[in-house]
Amino acid sequence: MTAMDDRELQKEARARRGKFTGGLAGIVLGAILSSVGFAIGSARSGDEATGWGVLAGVGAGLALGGMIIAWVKRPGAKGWRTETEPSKRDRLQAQRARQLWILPLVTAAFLIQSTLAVQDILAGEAGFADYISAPLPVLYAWVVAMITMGWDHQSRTQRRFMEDELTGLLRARAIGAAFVVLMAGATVAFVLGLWRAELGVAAMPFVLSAAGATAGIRFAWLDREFGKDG
Amino acid sequence: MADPRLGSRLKEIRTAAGLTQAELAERAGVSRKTINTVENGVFVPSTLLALTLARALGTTVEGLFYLAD
Repeated sequence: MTAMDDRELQKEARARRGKFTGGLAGIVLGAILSSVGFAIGSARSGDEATGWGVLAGVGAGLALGGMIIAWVKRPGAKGWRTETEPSKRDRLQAQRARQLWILPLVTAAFLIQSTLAVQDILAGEAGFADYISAPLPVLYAWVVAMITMGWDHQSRTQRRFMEDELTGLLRARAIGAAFVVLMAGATVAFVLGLWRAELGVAAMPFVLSAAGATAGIRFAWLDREFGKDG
Repeated sequence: MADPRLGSRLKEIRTAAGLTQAELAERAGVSRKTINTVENGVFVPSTLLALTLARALGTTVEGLFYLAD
């Protein structure tokens, strides 16, 4: 099996340098956000403290993510130069399938938090943290849908490895299933909204999360099924 | 996407050529799963992929695929 050619290696090296720098920037930005959030949040109370706490948490997450990226893409890392095209294709496609299993679970976890936040917002008792929590599952549903559609950064920059005819078939089936869920869910939300408007609004994060999760899980499921020798 | 009208000799010709699915996939520039699904009749390849597979195996598209009666 042939290793990547020189042009591919240079392109990969450039991409790795960029990600390493991005990882370092993430660490710095995360540390700043975390420090500011912790410093100010510890001097406040109530919802205001929660809001600064969320900022500190986001900063810590960003710093941790930056550390992982910087470590994986560090200049002295070995292995990637000798990776063959087929192994890179398999690795990237397996990585996408893993993301599409995990992210719907993350969406579901955020949905619980979001439901409580939406209740507070609809009751007119919302604080800053509620407005942060409420849209999170919707955001993650979009991320799952974008990965499934091949619109995410990795799919666009690694199209040669991430896309082939089978990917198109997987995508068509996954999006088809998600569309059915979206139509059914939106119909239920509409009917609930006619009865009590606030229930229609409250149902939307469920509908979008379910549609996004269906797309991702269906894609990952079919990817696994099609990998089995028959 | 599976179509019972399409017959395939891909697996026979690939194994006769002494290639694994992964090796044929590399020659054709697709994933191993693509080869697997074409061999299993789950996925009907496009004309372009059929021509690529035929070239990779040194045969013709008609040699690889046929209309099942």
